Amino acid sequence: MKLRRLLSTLLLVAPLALVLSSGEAMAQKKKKKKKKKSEKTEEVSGAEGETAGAGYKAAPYGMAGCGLGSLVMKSNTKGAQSSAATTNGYTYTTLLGILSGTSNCVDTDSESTAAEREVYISANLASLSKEAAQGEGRHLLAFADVLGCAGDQSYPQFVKVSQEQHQAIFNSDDPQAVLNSYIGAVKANSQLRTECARLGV
Amino acid sequence: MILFRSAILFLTAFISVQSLADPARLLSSKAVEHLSESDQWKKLLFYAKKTFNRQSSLFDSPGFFVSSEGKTDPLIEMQAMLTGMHQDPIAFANPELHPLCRFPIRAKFLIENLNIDRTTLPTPKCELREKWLARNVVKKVSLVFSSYYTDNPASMFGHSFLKLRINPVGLNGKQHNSANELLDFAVNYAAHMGDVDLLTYYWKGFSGQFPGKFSMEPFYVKVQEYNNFEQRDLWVYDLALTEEESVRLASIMWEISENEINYFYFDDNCSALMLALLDAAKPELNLYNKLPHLWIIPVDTLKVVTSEPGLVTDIQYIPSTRTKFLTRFRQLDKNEQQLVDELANKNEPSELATELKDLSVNGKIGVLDTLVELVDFKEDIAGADLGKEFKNLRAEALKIRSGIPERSEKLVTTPNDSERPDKAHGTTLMSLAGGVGSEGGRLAQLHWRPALHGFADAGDGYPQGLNIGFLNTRIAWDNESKTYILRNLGGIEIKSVPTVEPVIKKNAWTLNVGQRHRFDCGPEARDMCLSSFLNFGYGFSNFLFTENITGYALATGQLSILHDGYRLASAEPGIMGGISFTPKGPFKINIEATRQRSYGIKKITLVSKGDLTAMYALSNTKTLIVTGDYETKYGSSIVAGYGIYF
Repeated sequence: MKLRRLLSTLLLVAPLALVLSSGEAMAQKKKKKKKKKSEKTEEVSGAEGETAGAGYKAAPYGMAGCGLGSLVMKSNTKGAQSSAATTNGYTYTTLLGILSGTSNCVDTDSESTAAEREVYISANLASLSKEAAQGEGRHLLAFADVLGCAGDQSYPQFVKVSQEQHQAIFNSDDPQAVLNSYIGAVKANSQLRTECARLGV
Repeated sequence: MILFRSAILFLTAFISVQSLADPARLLSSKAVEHLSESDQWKKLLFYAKKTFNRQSSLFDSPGFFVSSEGKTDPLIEMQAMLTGMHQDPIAFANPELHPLCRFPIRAKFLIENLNIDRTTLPTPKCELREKWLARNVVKKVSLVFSSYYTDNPASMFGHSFLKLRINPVGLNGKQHNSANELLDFAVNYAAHMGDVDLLTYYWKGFSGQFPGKFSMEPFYVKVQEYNNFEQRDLWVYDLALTEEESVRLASIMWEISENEINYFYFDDNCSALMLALLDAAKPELNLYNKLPHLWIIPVDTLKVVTSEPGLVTDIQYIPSTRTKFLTRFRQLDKNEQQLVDELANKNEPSELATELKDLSVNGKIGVLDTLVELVDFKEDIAGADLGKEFKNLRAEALKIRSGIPERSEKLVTTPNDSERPDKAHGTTLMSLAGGVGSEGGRLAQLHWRPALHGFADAGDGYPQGLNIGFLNTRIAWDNESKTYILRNLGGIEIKSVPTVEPVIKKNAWTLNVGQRHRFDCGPEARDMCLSSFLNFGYGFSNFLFTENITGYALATGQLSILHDGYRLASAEPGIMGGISFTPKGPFKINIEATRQRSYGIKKITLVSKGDLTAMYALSNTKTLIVTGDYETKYGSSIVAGYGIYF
């Protein structure tokens, strides 16, 4: 095994390194643009993330980080720049870091749904603004699910509110601000107010 | 075989019942010895057979094993696990570290197969595990392939990961039970490299010095990353795992947790590990061992998965922003298409409403939706990034769009079945051909390209306009001069020649490293020598504006080291032009010509070179191939032959 790897490595690494590094450099250049923006905010978020995860950080196994918590922090502080949420700014280092819509860091339902809302809007703001204006799309319906406005009777109303209130909802580059306006618009609708189960307080 | 296995199982059960009373006897029993050699146990430990049939676990972290010898010895690991299972939890500072908590699936496997009486085992409190598993009830498992994108070398070979539908059991039942795919979860295996320079990155990547880790994140994050930021289409292969197997997969992920596998670019890569994970979750699968041995390309894993009867239940396609733009654009009429182009070029938000006022409602919707998609494509808009150059135009377009109450029609982008990446030709091409050399003598040619795709290869399943050659090697034997000619010894060759794309003009580029014979190494014709070269080029394509013919022209540069008498090393600026004729169907052809001046240490020469490749695919495993070559001071040659993909 070692021999094979050594051989393949020696054979290939020299020319490949040359080629790939220039190729990768092109890709990196593209990514750097985005990364630069988020550098500063990320430092802050890193620290906050750790604090949030301190409860489990000490454990030398599985649940080593409190991923969702830190993701929320990062997304928040990053604000408009959280495009990096999609790729490079984040290093999802632990399998159990990001949990299924709930986190180890939060123990109540209201906290976990709040986290889910924030993460969702931070990662999907651009898609959501587009689909809300068009009144169609899976990002829009997924957000309805996140807010608990699920089901065939709620979707049309949710889509309608999203489209009609587009200007009032998407009046900021900050995902958190958009989220607040969005929830406000949904709550202002008498049908959705009762149907959406996960709007928070 | 089945009979033999049943016999062993029976024997195993019999012996273990005998040994129950005495854990010490159980450890050294034949039953344990047999069971430790079983496929299932090895799958749970992620054992893989490597060169010389030596077996060891793919995992490198000691935390993945109970015994320090667990990586290479399945018996010792089983004995250590059995001992560990019986240990008093009090012995652990943190009861969650008790083997029963850490390795629930291995424990279950041993309890069931060795008939261990559960009442003899301690009952450590595994609160974290229970909480995690309760929140990660896996309902559905899919394998996702993120396809190639010509302009992004990092995506050269594609990438794959698992997607899990998880129905979390909420704290008070209020969790969403969404069927929306975006809310699924992605299980990804990737190298974690930290901050290193590029050379270190590749050195470590190839020699397996990066820790590879699994991570889990919302699928929508992956959609943003691949579809929107990197413009790569996603293919989702739903897999037939039973409910029990799906839940088992979650437990196996728990056992893996943070443990690492050293990342090898060639084999222990993302795609291979996903198959090992599936093997462990679904006992009858044996996917990992069906992979090629030397290196593994993500497409290979798709081929293995789709060739397993009944494993793939459905295949879905999630288009990138680029695909979505092209689809919308093609739905517009000529005037509307022109308008979209103009609006984007002008980039004047304040004039947008006026420019649209003459259009019908449907016309407005079509133009606006296409314009926004174009902006998103141009700026690779993803996440919470709302754009830069076109930010205001986008906002204005969305404002006007939201004022039109009609909902956009659902965008349907269903590719042909033949475009599925698993239907693509095999990743390795090998061909034998015979023909005529420059002096009229017979010529035989052997061609071996372990990866991946050229312009003339049957295009389905690979993107048009992408040429990726890896270790591409072409050797000819000239019977007249009794010499062998090394046409090419790769290295790597990448050529990205964007095909016709309305409105978007992307540049063509190329990059090659390798060795080959040259014929301008002395004053005489056919003064042959070996040269090593680094070749690069940049230019444009897509100027012919027809669907099936792509023309390209590039300015090139080349650095060569020559084993000749008078140049030794040379810098070689030049120009290159080519035409690809790639209609749908089996026949494709690519012709390319290069002319370059060679500034050597002592001597300057002019070199012209031409290549022709024509292929007629008989199936996705067989092809007819014709190759023609022309080179200054050699002349031309042409060979025809037969190639196989595997």
